[in-house]
Amino acid sequence: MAIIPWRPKEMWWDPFRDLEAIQNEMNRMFDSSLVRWGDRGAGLLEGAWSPAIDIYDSKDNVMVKADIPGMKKDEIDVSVHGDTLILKGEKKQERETKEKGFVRTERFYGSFNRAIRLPSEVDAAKVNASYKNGVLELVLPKKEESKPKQLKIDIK
Amino acid sequence: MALIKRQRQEETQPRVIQPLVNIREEDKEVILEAEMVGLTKDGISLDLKGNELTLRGKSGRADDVIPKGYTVVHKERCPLEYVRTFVLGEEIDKSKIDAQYEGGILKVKLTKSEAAQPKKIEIKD
Repeated sequence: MAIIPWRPKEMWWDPFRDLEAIQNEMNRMFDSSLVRWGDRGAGLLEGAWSPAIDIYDSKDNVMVKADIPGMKKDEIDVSVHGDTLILKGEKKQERETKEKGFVRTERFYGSFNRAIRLPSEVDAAKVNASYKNGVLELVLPKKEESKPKQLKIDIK
Repeated sequence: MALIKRQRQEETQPRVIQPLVNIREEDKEVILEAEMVGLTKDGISLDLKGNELTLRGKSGRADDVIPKGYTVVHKERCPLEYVRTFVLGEEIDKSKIDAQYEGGILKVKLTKSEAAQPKKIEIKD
């Protein structure tokens, strides 16, 4: 077919415009879903979510921050096994409100379990944990033997 | 290109997202719970314009900055800004809006006006 029906210029196929449209769509998708944990409809991932975490390191401590909104202090389980930190918990929807007149439910409920490899071994007995405004903050003191050692070498 | 530009932007300014919400309707009120992690009470604002209620929240500076003396090993959390607007129905009494922030959840209580509340009708003998 050599004859192409005439269309106004703005309707001509422009490969770059399509690319741009795809990119916009991708950006929109990332915006709406990346920050939200565990897409509910995502088959295998259904019922699972995992909090976003930050890990910081200093000379004496390791600090871990995790976003875990809407939980109670005693519902979060923190444990240390060697150099692995395990965060566990279950976000429960209150029973009394479970069936009652929900118009919209977007918030995510369910259990999470996250194991984090720490940059060095920590003293599990001295871990300081706090939970405020939905953020879990842990300060984990490093074990004496895993702290960086400074050796002074004399130059002869 | 736009994606790359966007990422660079994020390092300096917070990413704007819509908070996830649960909305529940009861006899006398409508309860809206929005997930807004790591804010302080001062960083949250609720604005009512006509019948549009806008929730806004900006995470405090302190939480976005790397703690003093620490270096980053791994980072997933990013500075966030929450914005979401809801259109309130006629039955909501706009002078009675109540909000509370606890554990990363903003709970907004919208009371229904007298006329919209269910009334029990007594049966006379």
